[in-house]
Amino acid sequence: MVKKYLITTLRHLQKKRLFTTLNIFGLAIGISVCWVIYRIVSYEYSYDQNLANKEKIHRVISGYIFDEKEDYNGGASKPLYQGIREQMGGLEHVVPVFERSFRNVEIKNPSGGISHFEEQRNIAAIDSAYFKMLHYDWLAGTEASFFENPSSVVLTENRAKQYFPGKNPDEILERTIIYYGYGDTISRTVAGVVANLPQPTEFISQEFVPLIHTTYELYVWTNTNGSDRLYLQLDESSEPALIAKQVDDIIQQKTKEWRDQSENSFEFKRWMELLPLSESHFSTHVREGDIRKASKPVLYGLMGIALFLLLLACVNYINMSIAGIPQRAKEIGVRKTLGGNKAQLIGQFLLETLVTTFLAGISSIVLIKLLFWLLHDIIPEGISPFTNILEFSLFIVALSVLIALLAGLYPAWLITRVNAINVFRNTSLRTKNSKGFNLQKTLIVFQFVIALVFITSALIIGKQLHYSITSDMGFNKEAVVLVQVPYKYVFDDNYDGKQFSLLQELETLPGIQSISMGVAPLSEGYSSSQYEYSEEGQPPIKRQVFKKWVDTTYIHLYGLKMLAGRNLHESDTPKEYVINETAVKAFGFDSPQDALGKYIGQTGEKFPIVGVVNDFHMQDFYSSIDPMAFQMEKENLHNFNIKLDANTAQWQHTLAQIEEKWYQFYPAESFSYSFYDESIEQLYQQEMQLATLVNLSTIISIFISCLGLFGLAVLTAFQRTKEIGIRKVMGASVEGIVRLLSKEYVLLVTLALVIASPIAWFFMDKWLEKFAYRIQIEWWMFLIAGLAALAIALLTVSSQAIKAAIANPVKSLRSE
Amino acid sequence: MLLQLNNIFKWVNSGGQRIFLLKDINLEVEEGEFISIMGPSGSGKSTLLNVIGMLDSFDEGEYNFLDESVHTLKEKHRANLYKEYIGFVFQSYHLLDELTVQENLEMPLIYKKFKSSERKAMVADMLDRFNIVGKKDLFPAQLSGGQQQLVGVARALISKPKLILADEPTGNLNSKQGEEIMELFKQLNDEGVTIIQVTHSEKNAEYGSRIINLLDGRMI
Repeated sequence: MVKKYLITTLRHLQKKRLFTTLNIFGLAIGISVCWVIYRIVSYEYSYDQNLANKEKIHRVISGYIFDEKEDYNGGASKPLYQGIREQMGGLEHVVPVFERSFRNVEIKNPSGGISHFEEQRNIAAIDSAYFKMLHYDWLAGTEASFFENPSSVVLTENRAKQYFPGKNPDEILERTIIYYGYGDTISRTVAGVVANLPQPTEFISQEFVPLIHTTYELYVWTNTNGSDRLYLQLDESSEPALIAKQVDDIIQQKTKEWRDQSENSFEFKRWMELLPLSESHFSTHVREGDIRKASKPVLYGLMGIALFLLLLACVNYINMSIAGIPQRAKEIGVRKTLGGNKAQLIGQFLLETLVTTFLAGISSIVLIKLLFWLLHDIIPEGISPFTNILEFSLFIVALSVLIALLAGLYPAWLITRVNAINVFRNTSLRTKNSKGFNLQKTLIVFQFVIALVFITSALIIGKQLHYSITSDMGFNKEAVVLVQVPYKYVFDDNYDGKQFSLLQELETLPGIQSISMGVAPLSEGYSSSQYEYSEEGQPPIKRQVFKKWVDTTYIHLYGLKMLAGRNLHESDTPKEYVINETAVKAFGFDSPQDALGKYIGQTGEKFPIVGVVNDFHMQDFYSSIDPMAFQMEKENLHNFNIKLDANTAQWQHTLAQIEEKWYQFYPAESFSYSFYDESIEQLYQQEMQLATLVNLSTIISIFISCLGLFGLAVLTAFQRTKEIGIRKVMGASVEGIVRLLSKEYVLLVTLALVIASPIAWFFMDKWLEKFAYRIQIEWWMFLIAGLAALAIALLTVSSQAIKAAIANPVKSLRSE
Repeated sequence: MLLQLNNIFKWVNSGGQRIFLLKDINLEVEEGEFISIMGPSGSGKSTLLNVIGMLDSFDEGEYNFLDESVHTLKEKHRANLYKEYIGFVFQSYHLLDELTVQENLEMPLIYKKFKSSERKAMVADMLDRFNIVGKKDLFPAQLSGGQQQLVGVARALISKPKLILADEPTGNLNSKQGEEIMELFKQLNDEGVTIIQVTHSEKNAEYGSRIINLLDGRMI
């Protein structure tokens, strides 16, 4: 019986090839998107899921209020772990993980050669608590021997492979590794090799060294560094909130002691919080450089997209099935007359849906690969399209059944309502309310609402990105190339002062307009400190000020305007400031002129203001322009800002010459340059990814909607063949018929626009809110989105409308 | 003379063979005639009617309608010609299901670009003449077959055509309803409208002034 059904179903699907293809294609897109997003979401939620004690592990993080802004740091003061161990109970383990990096790592090979590894990161100082909290498999060596020797090191399998390629763990033991830090050099012996933790994990340390017990001075309690992390594993009975309170109390106590002791009036508020390990991967509010994080809102957004696109695909299926019922009426009538009951008819239709979805699931394999390729920027590393075939099959089967029910039940029920007698009487199956607003139209409107929300969002995001990248930054970034002296040479005595010799050499090159040393106006790294200005008899005004080290050509090179006073003078040591307009206002000076000659700075380190420049953007458009001060100190200048001649044809040649000069002073491989306007685009990488995602969703949603619309247009044209015939015989023109058939869709899209606009406006307004500098949402953006949707919809339906309109009415009116 | 067909041939090619639907048809129709076309199924009655109505093309021969040579006209002119002078009545009425009686009558007038006020007047006139004022707001499905065909005839007549083409107008009606429609045709013919009908029924054919018999696409 089932076999019979299956054969009929396949025959039926084959007969309706066009619709089967459209349906399969639409559903396959929906399924592929769901799978890709499922992979991403499940990956992000799988962080450290393998740890047995994961519910009990918490991180200690530091909260601050700076300049009335709340900020979090992922680290905790170094001595805090000692304080906790001494004063607190209720904890299974207190686990400090103090990471650092080295500019160079050297390994002497027995054969004589030396291997170099530059800029090595993820080297952690730990004590025995670490291995108690996290279980590592020891491939060589023992924990005991590791902690016995303070200058030993344990490598993970991955790192061991990097340092000693082709060696077994046992062969590595007792080998020596030399670490060159920024100012220190340490020699260590390998005491063990451990297997890597199951991925993905936030414990990414690759080398472990014993943490030496130190007695810290009091001031260290007030320092926080993001690389000094602290984990706590709580007792079964401990209450996280209570533990957090106790940890915070220790810090507040120590801060108070320090305040009483020192005379520093630097104001800041700091507190400690506990972050459950399960939340750690999603803690985007905590600043951390090294660890990849996922934002929960983004994941929810992705799930939303998956859900909507899947719904769109289902809606398509429902729409086409409903529209197809009149064509199948005869078949259904015959089946009913011959004794088919409701359950059988529903079963038959559901089977048809199931087969279609299943075929869609199979064809989605190709689409999934395509999506992974399209989204390679966005999909985190470590996710592949398919790892477990069983998981994929289960996913497809489960989704197929879900879709079959979602998309198949309603049309199936409708089928059972077909009245057999009416079918044979040849009366029309279109019900009397066909002029009104039926389900099919509602669904089409729903599809277009989603498509329009995407179109509008894509438009607005694109516009804001364009605005962020191209609008006036307050300085001239044209033709500027940035070259940075690598960080590792900055602290290397061998390279001390070499940048200035290089500068002199570069200045002789033709094709360069001017060169300045200093931190670029807008750069990712920045430093800010609290400056104060005190007037006689007034309380001091304290403001957070961005400081930029620059030289004397800087202001001219970037085309900044002096609003008052003069440029900085050449100087080896700091002695004066040039500030921006915002700083003038922040310190309460009446005018740029008024600011000149006033002393500002950190306590005991105040210098006069000698000039004021116009405001310019120092950060991306999320942040408003802050108070800023330029200062000159030669030893802090490591960045070249090179302005090239306007003649672009010469640029490549000039760059090659710069590189040549570079080699005379620095190692060859360390040269890298970037055009400033390109590096500003880099700031908005996340937004560009969002734009890619929204653009792709737009295309997919439009595409699916059009599939549905096309199917509907074909069926409508079929249903209305008779009507079109009559109208033509009565004298309707081809244009008239096309207009008649298209008018309905125009109305539907217009209605969708009315519904979609406020939704899109709401979300985009929220998104734009985060930008300090943003575009206005204008009515014409919605109009353009509407017109685009309309044009696409009309293109989709017009071929069918025209085909119907030019058909010979004699054929359609031939008496039945 | 209203129209003239000279040596009209129409054929289809099927499997290398040429099958003639119409073979050497010669026909002259004067204004005011009432012609019945008869013949067995498949003899080409409807095809001939469609050719006369300019809904269908032919492969050979000449067709003159009111001194215009139809075979040389472009599609658009041809459409204008039949829009203006010809009205159609169908066996299965072909009223639009989702339009009321009144709207069905109005439809051809819209296509002929009559003004709204004129349309109203003409529709009212027709409703009155056919005694269906009371039914003007009903949908076709709410009418009996005879009434539907009455509306069909009214719709064909509303733009005052010179020629009415009726393809088995009584085919779906019972004898009494059929008789009423034929009486109506007779009356219209007396008023000067030229009518060409296709029919199977000897009795209905009697209403006409001339009978044309077709067999295998040929006039006999």
